[in-house]
Amino acid sequence: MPDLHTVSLILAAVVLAAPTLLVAVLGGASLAGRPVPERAAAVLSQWAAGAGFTAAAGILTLMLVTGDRDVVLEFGDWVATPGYHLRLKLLFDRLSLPMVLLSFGLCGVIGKFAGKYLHREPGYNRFFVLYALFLLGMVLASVAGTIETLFAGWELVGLSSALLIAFFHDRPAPARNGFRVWVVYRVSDMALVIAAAVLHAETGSGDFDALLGTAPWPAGVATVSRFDALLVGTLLLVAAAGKSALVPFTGWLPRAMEGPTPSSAVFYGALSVHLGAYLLLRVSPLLDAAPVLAGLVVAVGLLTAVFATLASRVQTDIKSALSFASAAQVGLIVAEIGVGWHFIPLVHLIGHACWRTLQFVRAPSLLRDYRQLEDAVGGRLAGGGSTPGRAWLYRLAAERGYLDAMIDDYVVAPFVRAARAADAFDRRMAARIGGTPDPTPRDAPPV
Amino acid sequence: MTHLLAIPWLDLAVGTLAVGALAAGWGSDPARAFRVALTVSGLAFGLTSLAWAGYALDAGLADAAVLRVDELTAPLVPLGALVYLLTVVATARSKMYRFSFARLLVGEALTLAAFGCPVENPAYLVGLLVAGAAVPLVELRERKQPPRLVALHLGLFALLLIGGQALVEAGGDRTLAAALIAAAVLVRVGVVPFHGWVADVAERASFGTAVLTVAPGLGLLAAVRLLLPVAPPELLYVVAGLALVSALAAAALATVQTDVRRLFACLAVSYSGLALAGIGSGTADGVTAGYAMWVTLTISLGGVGLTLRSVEARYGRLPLTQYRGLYDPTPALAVGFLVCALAGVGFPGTVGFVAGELLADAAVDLALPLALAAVAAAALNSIAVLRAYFLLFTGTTHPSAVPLHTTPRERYAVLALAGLVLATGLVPQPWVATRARAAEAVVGPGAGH
Repeated sequence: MPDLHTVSLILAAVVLAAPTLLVAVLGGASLAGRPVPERAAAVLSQWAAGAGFTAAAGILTLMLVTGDRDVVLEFGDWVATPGYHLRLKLLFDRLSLPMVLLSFGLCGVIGKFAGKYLHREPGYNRFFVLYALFLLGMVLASVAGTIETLFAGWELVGLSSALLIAFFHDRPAPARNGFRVWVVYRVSDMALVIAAAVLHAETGSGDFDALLGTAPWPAGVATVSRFDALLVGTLLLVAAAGKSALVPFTGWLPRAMEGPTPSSAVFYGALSVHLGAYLLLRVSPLLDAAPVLAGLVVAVGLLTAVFATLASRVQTDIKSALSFASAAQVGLIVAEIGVGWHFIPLVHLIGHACWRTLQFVRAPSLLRDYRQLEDAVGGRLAGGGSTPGRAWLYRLAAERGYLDAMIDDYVVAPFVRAARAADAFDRRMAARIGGTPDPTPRDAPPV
Repeated sequence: MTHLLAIPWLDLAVGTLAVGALAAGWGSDPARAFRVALTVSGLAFGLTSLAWAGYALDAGLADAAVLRVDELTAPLVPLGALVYLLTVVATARSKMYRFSFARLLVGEALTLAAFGCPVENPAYLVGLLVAGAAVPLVELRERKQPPRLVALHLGLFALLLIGGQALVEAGGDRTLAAALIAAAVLVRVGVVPFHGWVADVAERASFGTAVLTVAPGLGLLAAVRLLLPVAPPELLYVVAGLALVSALAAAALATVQTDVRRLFACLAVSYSGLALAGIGSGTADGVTAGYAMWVTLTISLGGVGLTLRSVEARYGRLPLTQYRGLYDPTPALAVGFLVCALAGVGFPGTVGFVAGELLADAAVDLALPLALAAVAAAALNSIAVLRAYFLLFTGTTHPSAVPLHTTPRERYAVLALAGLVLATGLVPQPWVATRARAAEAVVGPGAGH
């Protein structure tokens, strides 16, 4: 009879193996030019989500039976050189288990929904490959015991997100918005990579234990100096801001609505958009060690909540309105984390994820729902009035705080101008030295 | 078995390639030349793999062997041979009459010989590197393309390398010799501002030649074999610093390119710069990272180049100025491009992830701004490759009256490289350990951990 630790190991392996095998089967078949049939893809996705959910529930049950607050499973060094170790370590605790269960549960439900919603859609197989990649990324990021493992999951979520935004790739707008989101992710993810490198330099490893102590969440205590806590924490806040669409990165969230409704629901209503908040929850001991950082987190969270609330009021399509509503709630969750709470933001996160997913999948039926409501009420639903001073607020909200415009004008445009000038100079010098005319077109539309 | 592996397989591979080049160049039938090249480069891949196996299993080597592999080159040799083989495999029929398989085989022979050149004979390595530099020049002349820019740079490379090595052999001023060799390395790797020739080869030569000029990393080989033994640490830091700046600059340029081939060149310069920065850091961790980046760039640039080459074979030269919508006609090429391109930028699950982590870690140990530069270069490269992906493969529909799906040969080539990207990414320890051992052989154990 295997002992409880062995059983935990097996269950943890299933938690990770289920989405991994799904990616391998769906992705491998596509790569080989033999995509899995529609029905099989949907069924496999259901099985993977079900198996993962059951295994995660099993670990939760074991923890409740044994009274353990966390289960740490080490699979050894994934990479080891004399000067560098990258451990594969999974951490199941009161933070990661709810997130994993949420991921498998919502992905299972949305997978079932998508199987019908995208029936006979030309990109059906592509959707499920990316959905599998997303599930793997979410699970990996949730149970990561090291910052590198979290980063791996983080990036998988980001890539699947960008590619699903561009799902309807026969039109330019989805491609443009998918690229925009990718740029925001990559810029903010730089902060996560630097944080991982700094953590390695300061503690000798990327383990969260080395940064936050070995006490189970949320009882951890930062083991680094206040300055290091501020540095690493600020870098992680930047990364979280990018992923969770916190100010000033909120502008990408409505652009993400180009993707199909199932992915909008599970990514931007439920899971992906909360990953930044999850990261801040995971490193919450850093906030305790650096009050300045905590203040910054609260400020960013509240600013996002206020801004997104205003913006959501003026949107003219339901998915954009819901996306800003999501951002507002995520802002509140982040502010709660900054204040020093742990379980309230976690419960808030789970409740919001479930509620928003429902709203997103109901979104295509919005007009029908409104008509039914108006039939029941016997008249039109009341609209808003206008008061003095609201016009400028309306304008600010409609322009989404001018955030995207400011980023475009003060960050993107100068960079592109400088890079194009350098490229033009490069070509001219090459043509002069080589004695040739420059043969290639110089102007490109902004992508 | 051990006796079998002690056979000088690398010598046989180079000899086979030399004979094959003669056979491929005989006559004017491109289909026949293709078949010869396919057979010979396939044999070369097999023979170099045996050479690696022999080294890995400690089989020893026959005294008659001229060429040898060591910890650094043992896996690089079959990897390089694989890139050459897949370049032959993926050559479209429409390209066969313009692409010289004989020249490819000559280039491969020179490349493998350079990798196998014994470290005690650096003069031979210099000769092989200089001879190898002539391959793209010969093609430019054949295509009646102006060779001046490439000739000036590669001529400068040859002069600096020969002059520097001659000074070393003659026992002259070692610092001056190292400076000359360092300058040669910077030119060959294409470090900004000496990067123009890489873009020129990419634009004016065939795409296959462009891939084979940069993917094996011969400039990096020159750095390791010729520069590291003679250069003082201060000079290596300068080289590493210039390489890092070049990587960042090339990455920034890559984000605004309007031509696919120039994009490829910018990525090559950036990846090579990152690898050279690691090698020049002088620490075991940094050199390990540089070597890991070297493996990454060979696989990634090979894959990206070959998929883009296949796309060009269907649609002609591709400016990055509008959406093309090529995913639906050629999904395998789109996915192959994406997988191989993401490998180069260090995406998790691919060969480049560990290299990127090692590089960031080594850079932070030296100085935080260096880590920032390396990470920024990777981020900009990732933006550039996704921009190219979205522009080439999405954004519109591409109606076509003729079938454009990938041929079996192209699919095998793309699958092989994508498979290699993922296999080395998911199970990185075996190959990373060899890079770490090779690094320790250069910098000494315990140096800079």
